[in-house]
Amino acid sequence: MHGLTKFLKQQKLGTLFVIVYLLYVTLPTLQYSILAPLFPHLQDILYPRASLLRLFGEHLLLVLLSGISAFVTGIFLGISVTRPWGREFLQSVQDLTALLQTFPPVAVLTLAVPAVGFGFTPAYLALFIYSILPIVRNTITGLLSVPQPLKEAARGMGMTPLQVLIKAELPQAFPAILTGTRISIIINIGTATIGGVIGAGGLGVAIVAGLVRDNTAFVLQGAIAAAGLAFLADYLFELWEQKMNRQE
Amino acid sequence: MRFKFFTGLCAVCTFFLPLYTVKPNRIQTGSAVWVFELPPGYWGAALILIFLTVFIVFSRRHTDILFLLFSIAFISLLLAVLHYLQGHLYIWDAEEYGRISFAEGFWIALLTIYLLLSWAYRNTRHKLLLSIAMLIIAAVVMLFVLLGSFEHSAILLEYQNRSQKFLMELLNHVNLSLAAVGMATVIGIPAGIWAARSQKYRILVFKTVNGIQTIPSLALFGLMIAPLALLSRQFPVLRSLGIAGIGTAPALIALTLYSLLPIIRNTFTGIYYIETQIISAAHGMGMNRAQTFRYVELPLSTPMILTGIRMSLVQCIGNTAVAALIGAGGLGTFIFQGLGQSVPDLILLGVIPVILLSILFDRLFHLAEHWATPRGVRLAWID
Repeated sequence: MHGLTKFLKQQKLGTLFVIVYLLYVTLPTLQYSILAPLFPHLQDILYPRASLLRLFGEHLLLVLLSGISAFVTGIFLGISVTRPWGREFLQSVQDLTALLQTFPPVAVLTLAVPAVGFGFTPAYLALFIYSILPIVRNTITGLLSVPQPLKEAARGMGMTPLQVLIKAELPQAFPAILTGTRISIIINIGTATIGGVIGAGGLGVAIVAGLVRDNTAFVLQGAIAAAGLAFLADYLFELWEQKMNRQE
Repeated sequence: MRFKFFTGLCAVCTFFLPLYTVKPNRIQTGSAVWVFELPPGYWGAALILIFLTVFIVFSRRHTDILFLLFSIAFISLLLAVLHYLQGHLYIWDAEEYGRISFAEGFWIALLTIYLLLSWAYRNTRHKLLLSIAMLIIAAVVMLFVLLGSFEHSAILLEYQNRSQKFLMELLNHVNLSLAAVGMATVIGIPAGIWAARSQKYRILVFKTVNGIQTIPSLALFGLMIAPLALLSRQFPVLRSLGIAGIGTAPALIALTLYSLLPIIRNTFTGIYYIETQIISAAHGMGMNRAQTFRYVELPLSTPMILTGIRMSLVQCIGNTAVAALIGAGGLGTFIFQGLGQSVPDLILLGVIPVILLSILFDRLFHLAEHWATPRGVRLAWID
């Protein structure tokens, strides 16, 4: 309890932002009272087909599902290519991920449609594939930068290779992995917004509907929520990184 | 060994997946074509390729020539099958309006060819010869396409229906991206230099640009609409200049804002992290501040700045595709039209050039970075 009050005192602005954002997403009346004065000539102010909260939920589900699966797969891939038995693939994986990262996220997302069709699945697959890239790259960088003496010391203490990995290498590489995950999640939130076009739901639905119907209020309603979500995720990662820095 | 095994697995997979789909017309879903349902000549060639794959996987030598020849054989087979399908569309009840799309096997084949060629390139002693060979292969394929040998390929049909518009949107896309990155460079380099000089300003700048970068692209485009629409309503002068809520103006502003972060960050890093001894040496030689900047700091940080511009440009080419949603044109037009009409090949007509443009500009800037690195620095790296 004491820790919580201390945290709230230190992060006054951040906490205020989180509360205001969550209120904005949940309360249609709040959205209405913000947007209505800006667009006096419009009849429909709020996107009628679905509540913003529901779109927010879809968006979050898409980002979290793809993010978590990419996190697991990415770390696994990164570990595999830095072990002796996977070393042969290291260069190829690095080259291929570098090449794939020059592909724009929109391209990957829309390429999923010819491959899988419309809906949640192609969006999930595209986000998953795209967000593996930064995680793999950062896992590899992190693991390769673990000092050799540290690994040798761990082995000298009688640890098995698996123990060396879990107790010595991964904790050392974790800050890099976290940075990769942060990049992935932020890109994911942005790309998921475009997912509205391929029928994956999410906050992009309101924006696209607004653009199609020439209703700027819908656009703004969705855009504020999408931008806020990205800021929220970035803020949470910032806190996590700060906490890790303090522990060191 | 494991790498070759993986490549071989991909090669074999190609023939057990459908290579192409034949569609009777634009909308209908087509029927998948495996290589083994074609005449013996084609599946015979495929079988020979599979045996060759096994040979390559288990041979102990890494011959670059073998890999190159193998990928040429692979490409030839893909093209030959496509050519056969064009002549025999009636087998799949698709004649006049028949069109051929790529299927899973084709994409795996592309991955296989990429793996083969990149392996050959990494292990060869004659990098220049190999790159020339690859360019010749690409040129031959392009020649076939231009001669109209693949007129029933679905992407080309989509292209032919709007060849004028395609060229226009392609130019539009490149122009918009280059203009945005150009503007971001003009703003970003001074801002980066300033950030390297003053600590107070640095925090402010990075907080702002980081914040902008965090906003999803579609949301940023959306946020531009309302204020610009208001401005153009209030000031007719702006409207006569073509500035409105949707169209090029909001797209250009949003794209420029997006492109700022990599340029400012890299300019800052390039200038801030020059070792102090080097600066002291320059002062010791009697250079004043302007000369130090012109002859020492700028050349040393140019490669870093170019890296920033490259990152901005690659990112910007992708985001310009999204800008089509707010009516700014560009290749995104085809992507979103294709999505709207549920025509996968039209989506590809937009997506593939976007990807190729990103890769092209990425490569070009890599070369520029190499040239711009001062000779002394390059020698120091080799040491």
